[in-house]
Amino acid sequence: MADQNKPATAVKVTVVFPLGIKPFHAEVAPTAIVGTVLSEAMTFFGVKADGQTVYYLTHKGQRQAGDVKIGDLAGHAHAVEFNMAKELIQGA
Amino acid sequence: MPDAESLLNLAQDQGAVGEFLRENRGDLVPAENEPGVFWLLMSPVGRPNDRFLARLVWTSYPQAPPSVRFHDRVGGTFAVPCAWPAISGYRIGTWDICKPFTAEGYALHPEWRQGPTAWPTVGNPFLWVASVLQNDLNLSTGRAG
Repeated sequence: MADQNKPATAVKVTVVFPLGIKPFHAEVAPTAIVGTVLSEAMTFFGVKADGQTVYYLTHKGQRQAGDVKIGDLAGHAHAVEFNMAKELIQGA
Repeated sequence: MPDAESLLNLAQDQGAVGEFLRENRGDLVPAENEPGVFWLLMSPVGRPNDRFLARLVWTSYPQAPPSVRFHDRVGGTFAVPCAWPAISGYRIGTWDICKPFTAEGYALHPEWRQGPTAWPTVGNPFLWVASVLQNDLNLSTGRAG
């Protein structure tokens, strides 16, 4: 996933999914968005959204919109960790 | 009571669950003298002083989902509306969570055992259940009673 011309301030991204065998790791430009990371992580974990399940990323317990820039979350740390949530659209 | 293999699997996975809950200002407490039973102390991300207590009972791990009910206190009762968060699918009266991550949900909807709603057995399903509960709590609007 890493850009060939990624800037020196590339952000190290980790996505943890409880149902995955191991975390997803990538380096992205600060201008990359959460939606792109989510898509790549879902591919890595072999999952797809459907009418009964959706996936999204949380950072420090807060759900992140797809258009949020990774750099805005990483700040000076140049690294950010997400949890990928699997939401079940079911109920009584 | 879970078999020895289930208890070993739980012991392997519960560490990550406790770590996740503590990162979210909660905690994981194994029930005393009740193998396979855990108390999850949690609060919504926007209401850290609003504490909820879920009791998880595993019978076969990771092969089967846990029973999940909210209690008023450790060792107390689940039949109290104010112990439950106000979340769609978390039902007062029947005192169950009708969603495809609980034993009660799968008992009510056998069709969930197939396809995308099937109970997952890879990775850390204990951590996944804890994360689903936490994410649902974060979206809750308060208490059921």
